Amino acid sequence: MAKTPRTPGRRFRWTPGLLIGVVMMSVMVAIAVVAPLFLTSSAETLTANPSQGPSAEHWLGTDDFGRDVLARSLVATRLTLLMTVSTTIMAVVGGIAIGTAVWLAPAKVRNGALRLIEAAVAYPSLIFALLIAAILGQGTWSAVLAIAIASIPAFSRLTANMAASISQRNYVSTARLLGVPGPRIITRHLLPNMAEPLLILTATVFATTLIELSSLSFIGLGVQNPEYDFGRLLNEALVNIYSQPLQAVMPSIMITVTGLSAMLIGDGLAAASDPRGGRRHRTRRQASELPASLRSSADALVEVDNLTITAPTGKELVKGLSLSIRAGEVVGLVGESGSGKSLTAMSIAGLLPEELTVSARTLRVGDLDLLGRNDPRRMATEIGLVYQDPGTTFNPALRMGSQLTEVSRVHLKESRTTAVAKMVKALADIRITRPESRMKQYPHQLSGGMLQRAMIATSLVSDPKLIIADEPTTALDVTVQADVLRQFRSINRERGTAMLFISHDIGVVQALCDTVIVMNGGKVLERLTGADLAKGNVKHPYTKALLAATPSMSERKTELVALRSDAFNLDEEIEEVSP
Amino acid sequence: MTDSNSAQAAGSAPVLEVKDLVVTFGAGSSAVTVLKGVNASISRGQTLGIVGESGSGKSTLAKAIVGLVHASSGSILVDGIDVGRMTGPQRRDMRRKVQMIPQDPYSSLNPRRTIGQTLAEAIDPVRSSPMLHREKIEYWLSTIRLDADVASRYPHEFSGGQRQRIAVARALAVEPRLIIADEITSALDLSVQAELLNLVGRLRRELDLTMAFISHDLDVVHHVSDSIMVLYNGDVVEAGSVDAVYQNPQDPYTRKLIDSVPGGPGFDIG
Repeated sequence: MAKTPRTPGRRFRWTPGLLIGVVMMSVMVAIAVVAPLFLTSSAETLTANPSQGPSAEHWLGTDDFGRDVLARSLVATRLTLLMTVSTTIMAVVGGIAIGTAVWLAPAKVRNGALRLIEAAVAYPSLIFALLIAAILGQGTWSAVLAIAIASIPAFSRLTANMAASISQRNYVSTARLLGVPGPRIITRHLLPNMAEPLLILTATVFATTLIELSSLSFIGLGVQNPEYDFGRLLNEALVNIYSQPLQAVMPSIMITVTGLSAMLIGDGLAAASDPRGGRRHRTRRQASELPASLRSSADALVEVDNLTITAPTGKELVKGLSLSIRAGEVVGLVGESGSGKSLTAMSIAGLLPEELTVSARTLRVGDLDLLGRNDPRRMATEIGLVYQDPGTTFNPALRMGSQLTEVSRVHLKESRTTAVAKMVKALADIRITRPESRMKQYPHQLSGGMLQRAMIATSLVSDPKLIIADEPTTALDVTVQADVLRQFRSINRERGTAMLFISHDIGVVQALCDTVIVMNGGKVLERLTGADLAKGNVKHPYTKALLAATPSMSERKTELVALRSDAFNLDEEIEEVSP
Repeated sequence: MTDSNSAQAAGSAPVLEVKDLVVTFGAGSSAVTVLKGVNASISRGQTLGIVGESGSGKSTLAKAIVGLVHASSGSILVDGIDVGRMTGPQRRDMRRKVQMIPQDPYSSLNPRRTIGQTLAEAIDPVRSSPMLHREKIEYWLSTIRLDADVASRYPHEFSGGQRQRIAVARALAVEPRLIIADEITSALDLSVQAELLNLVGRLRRELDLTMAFISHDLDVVHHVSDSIMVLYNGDVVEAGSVDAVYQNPQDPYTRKLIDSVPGGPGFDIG
């Protein structure tokens, strides 16, 4: 993978959402600071004009006591924000402290505490808060305390669970080995890496706190006369909801705007706090160059002529590659990561991600033209695929049987019984013991080698002309790998199935493949026979360097050749395959 | 193995000695014994290769040596002192004597800390400002052939091979007695692996490192080790000098393992 050049150091990233959130919140804070200075008299002085409608003097009218509704809403911002901010701070600090304390505690205490916290989270926090408020009595600060205590469990649960998961990562265990004291592990390694979810939760808690505080005031348990916050204003407005509906509008809008801006800021900060972020993906599709003429080659099963694969950024990942596979031939693609070997194979399987642009003069398997649209049934039955990691290609929730017979049932329209019988035979052919009971098992009950052989078996049931295997033995143990390679060899010998075998392991391809294609930087550098590769009979300097960089147990090399692919002339293509 | 090692040690106590180590996970009927009485020793300046397939217990052995996993019985001696019998601060000192280079270059560096901060923490875990330790940080970066300005960058700006070199530098910066390298090349490309193996080889010569090198790759272990130990299902099936074991394996499992290596002399898939 090419590294995108980035300027060192960090620049704060402003997302549109964050910007809008900050602007909205600044306006609210400005109102909270300024409004009480200028509007207190019109908001709190009783006048002789009660319950008036909107007028030039009172934009939203007046309340029962002749006070300006708009002014009261604006002045109330200060108390509301102060209450919400202090509640949030208490909840965050308390929650994180309890959460980390729980994580640091001995296992027995920790488990007990976690269950307790979970129970507290499950209990509706508003009811919890009501309970606390009822105990503490009515009033502004008892409401704040009540909501803060009710919000703590969510924070401590998240902190404890995140700490447990992050402490599994290598950098935390390494820090312990380095002798870093516990509290510093928390501040340096744990908290920064859970900043995102904590920030998002903080924003959510700010918004829900606002609503819960307003609710407490609304039902008369929170802020008491003569003080007033948004909830208290709504409470006063409720009495006149039919005569003075506008009285409820302004506090509602203020609550919504404050909550929304808090959420936007939380999301924005979370995105900005990650040093890895900021990469943007552009997708741009180009019309692909369709083939002018099909160059026919009678004996080739697979023909790829001048294949170019382009990333959305315009970078060419595969540059004018050509190869052909004859019926019954095993062709190996070998190269390092980023050489384009997997992309080449996936384009032959018709499975490239949508955002990549493919163009070629010819790209066909048998009579399937992969540059056009193809019948998915023919694609699924004529090309067999074996992937790298047998552990992740199977769905862990389904029994092996239904997954293994999918191709037969969906594409070959076979009945369940026929498909199962066929699969059992295929598994037996590939020397899997007790095939009938394997079909009833779940993937986790089978070993990696067994899963990989099962995958090979499924790719064979439709009797494909070509098997594409992308690093099929990389995730396997070396003794199991030898077994799986033997399977590939005997399938090729007995059925005459052609194979495209992708690997980074020179030892594997030289043993299995008739022809080996060495790739680097999206290009073919050398074609040679597997036998020549095994003898070290190679021409291209890159291939020579690759061999020299490989440690071997047959000889003791004092120094491996450190290989730099940019040091080679990658335009030079050496072809040495006798037909 | 004891013969060849005591010959190399020539009187001096081995840096690491593992005696009858048993590690069991779980309890009761669900208990699984991962290591079943393992013995090993490494003398100063020597590298012991530990090979085995998945489930052989090689990573558990590494974790037990550094103290991340508790031994059920048996003992682990570093410089002749039993690690299991220490308490509190004594153990903290001991921990810095043994350092581990983890397998996955992507989870071994804290993504929120710069390379400088990471190395500074290894140099002094308490006062870990990169400014305090600038000279040392530059020295260790130069040992792994990276520029000094790398210190202000974050892990995501580096490739897998570069990250792995940084993890090597972090382990070296502690100046430990023993380094445990746990599958450090398995996530790397061939050319990057060659670079890392050359670096390890050079450091072994220049710094006289004592190392346990754990890998499933027999070619790689052959390249870096003086002696080798083959684990199978928690048992040591064979141990000895590299040349002796590779050329004339005594245990049938070792034989099968060596014959399964593609490109090796005994490899045959029919």
